[in-house]
Amino acid sequence: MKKYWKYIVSALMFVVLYLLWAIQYRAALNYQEEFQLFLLDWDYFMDHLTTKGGLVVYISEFLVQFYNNYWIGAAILSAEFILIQWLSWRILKKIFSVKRDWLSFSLSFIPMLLVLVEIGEINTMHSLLIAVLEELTMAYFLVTVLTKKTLSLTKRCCILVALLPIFAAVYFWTSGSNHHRSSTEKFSFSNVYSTGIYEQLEYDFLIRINDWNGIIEKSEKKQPNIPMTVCATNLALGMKNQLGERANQFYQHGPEGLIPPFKRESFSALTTAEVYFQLGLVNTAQRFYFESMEGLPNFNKSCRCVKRMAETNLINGQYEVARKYLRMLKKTMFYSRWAERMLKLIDGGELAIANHPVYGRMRMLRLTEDFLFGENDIDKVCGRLYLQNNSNRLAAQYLLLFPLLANDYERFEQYMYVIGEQIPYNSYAEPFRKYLKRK
Amino acid sequence: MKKLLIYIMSGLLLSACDNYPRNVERIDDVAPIFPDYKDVTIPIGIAPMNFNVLTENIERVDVVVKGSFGGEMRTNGKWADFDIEDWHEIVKTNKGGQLKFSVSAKIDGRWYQYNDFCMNVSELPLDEWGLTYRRIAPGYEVFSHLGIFQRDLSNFEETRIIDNTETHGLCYNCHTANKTNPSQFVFHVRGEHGATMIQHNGKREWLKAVNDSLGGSMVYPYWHPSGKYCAFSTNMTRQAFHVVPDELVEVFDFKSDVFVYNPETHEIILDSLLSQKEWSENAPVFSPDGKTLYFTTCYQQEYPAHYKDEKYNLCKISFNPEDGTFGNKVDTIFNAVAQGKSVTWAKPSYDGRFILFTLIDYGYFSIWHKESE
Repeated sequence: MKKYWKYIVSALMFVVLYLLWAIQYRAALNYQEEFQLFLLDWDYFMDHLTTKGGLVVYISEFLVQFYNNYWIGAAILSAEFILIQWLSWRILKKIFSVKRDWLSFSLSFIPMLLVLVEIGEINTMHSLLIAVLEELTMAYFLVTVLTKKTLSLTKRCCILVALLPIFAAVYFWTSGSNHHRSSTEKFSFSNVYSTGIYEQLEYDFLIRINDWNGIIEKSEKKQPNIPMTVCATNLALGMKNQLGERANQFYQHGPEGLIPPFKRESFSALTTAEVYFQLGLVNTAQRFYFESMEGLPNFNKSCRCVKRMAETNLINGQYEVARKYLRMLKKTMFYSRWAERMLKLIDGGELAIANHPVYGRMRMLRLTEDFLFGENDIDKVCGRLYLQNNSNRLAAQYLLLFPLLANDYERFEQYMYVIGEQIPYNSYAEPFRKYLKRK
Repeated sequence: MKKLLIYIMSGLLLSACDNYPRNVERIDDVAPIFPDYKDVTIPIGIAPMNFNVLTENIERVDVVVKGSFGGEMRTNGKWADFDIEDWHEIVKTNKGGQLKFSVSAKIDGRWYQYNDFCMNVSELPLDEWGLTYRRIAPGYEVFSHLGIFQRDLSNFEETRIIDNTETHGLCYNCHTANKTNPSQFVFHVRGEHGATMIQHNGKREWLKAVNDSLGGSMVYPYWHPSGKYCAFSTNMTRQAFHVVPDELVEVFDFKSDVFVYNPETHEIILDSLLSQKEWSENAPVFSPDGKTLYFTTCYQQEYPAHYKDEKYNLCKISFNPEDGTFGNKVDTIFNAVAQGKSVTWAKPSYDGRFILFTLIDYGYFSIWHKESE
């Protein structure tokens, strides 16, 4: 038992890390995965191989795609951390004597913990882990040669000279890439495992999987307090037809809490895009998904955005564009089967799409009369959506809440006459009654 | 074992045979190729004019090229992809002649042959001509990886002039050389720390992106043929977005004016005729003799409500390059508004004989207008 204590400690560390990533920080895995599109494609491989540090990015993206399933993703990520610790231990073991193995083993956790801290900043790319592993592997070889006492100094020098070109080549392919998502932003210690930031990631994850109950439960436990989380909560309430009844139970952020205005920023645009999508404003949703993807500072493509854009184009009847996105997704590991199903759906013709529970409904919700969309007129757009299709309850709920959150009771009164009693509106009642009294 | 080998070899041979036209049926039409190169005139030295055949369920394309002065070449694959050396050879052999293209396509397992079409070969060589362009994914407001690139027209070699990996993701636009001469060059970098770069007389100048006296930035440029001046428009541009699927984006200007910049003296030459309050002047270009400035102009509308009424005419005003002064009269040389249309991106030919422009239903940002195709 005494002989294996180090392995047991490492194994325990693996379990701790696994639970941390699979349960506590699963949304962070989702965040890494949704902002890349790893293609099992020769061109994609060559594109990476011909850029400095591209191999590390390629290997990292290959592994990050497994984060799509956070149970597998957490296992991969934890294994990488343990590998860093294990390699550090082997190197230190060669530097210190075998007698001081306890010291080598204890110190070997330091590099792993440092990387763990850096990865805690959500925009640190996981290619950092692969780069550290590659550098530790090279260091291990170097230390092995340098500490090989059975070899003469001349032989050791010869081996080192022989290894240098290999190291140089490995260095070119593996180093030099920026391990931060943005080249202009620097690592910020205050963002490391920041509760506020990770909370947003959790909302983002729940929106992605359309877990409306999960969002409401989360908001019930802790009040949402920034536009993105308020927006997510309102959307979830709206999707469950509870917005009229319960909006006043949650912190509100004015009309911007219903639909935040457009910002050149990838992350929050995803939530706004989902609101537009669920409202039936398919073109606007498509624009926001596209902008979210194009706004990625590392020029990556996004599997989540590409998937949604395939859907928006399918709903809009732009089948060639939908096929283009689906062909891309067919080259991925986790979306290829879905892409094949969608391609079959397109081949099935208009009737098959019209009968689809989501896409068919979306087609019914879409506006047929053209106008230029303006963010300042979003309540009017909701009104049009509702008038076109009375079953669009989300549009009706948003229509009523917009003027209320803007303290425009006159407009609210007008909308009330249109919506009537079709939407439960307890949360609207009290301020409205006060307004009528004043009137 | 031997039998198995024979079967495999026969199978391979048969499948190889199936890649070439057999039992061909005729289609009495010219192949629907993309890009549509039919009947174009090409210079000697141009890169292979590769093309696709746009037909449903197409499996393979077989193209035989025959020159009127001799030479023959063939390509066979998913699209017409000509060998670059053979192509250059056959084009050179047929200087001043014609190339005849016989296109066959395998559709749903059967081979069909279309009617032949031709390309004319010019007497003139391409020489060392290339093309510069901004490469950007078509999008809305946000952009990803973009840059200004150049392409060697004799092959497919593309090289980067500048891209936004070098400038922390900033956006570039409107790079313009003086009649393709890169020693006189202007381009604009947008955003924070943005600037307009003017390369002139072997010097590079970085001007502030927004000029206070203009109230906007220098947007669409065009060099005076002497290189002494550069005309610009200054635009207050906005975008708006459609809600129906077939249309996406509208671009319109709340305000735009035209002016001329003298890079030597750093003077901006304004004229009230080119900056009228109720009119939007845009897209200026000099005539090849440098004595006329062409521009488009539109009666200012209320946007976005009346975006479909944004219609431009093509106008001109005389310009004296000696002292940098404008004439006192604006002439309309193409009244697109009278036809219910709008004119944009006028460009004079370098010999001064023609003006090429795009005609669209409304507005000036023609890339979003299918009718401009």
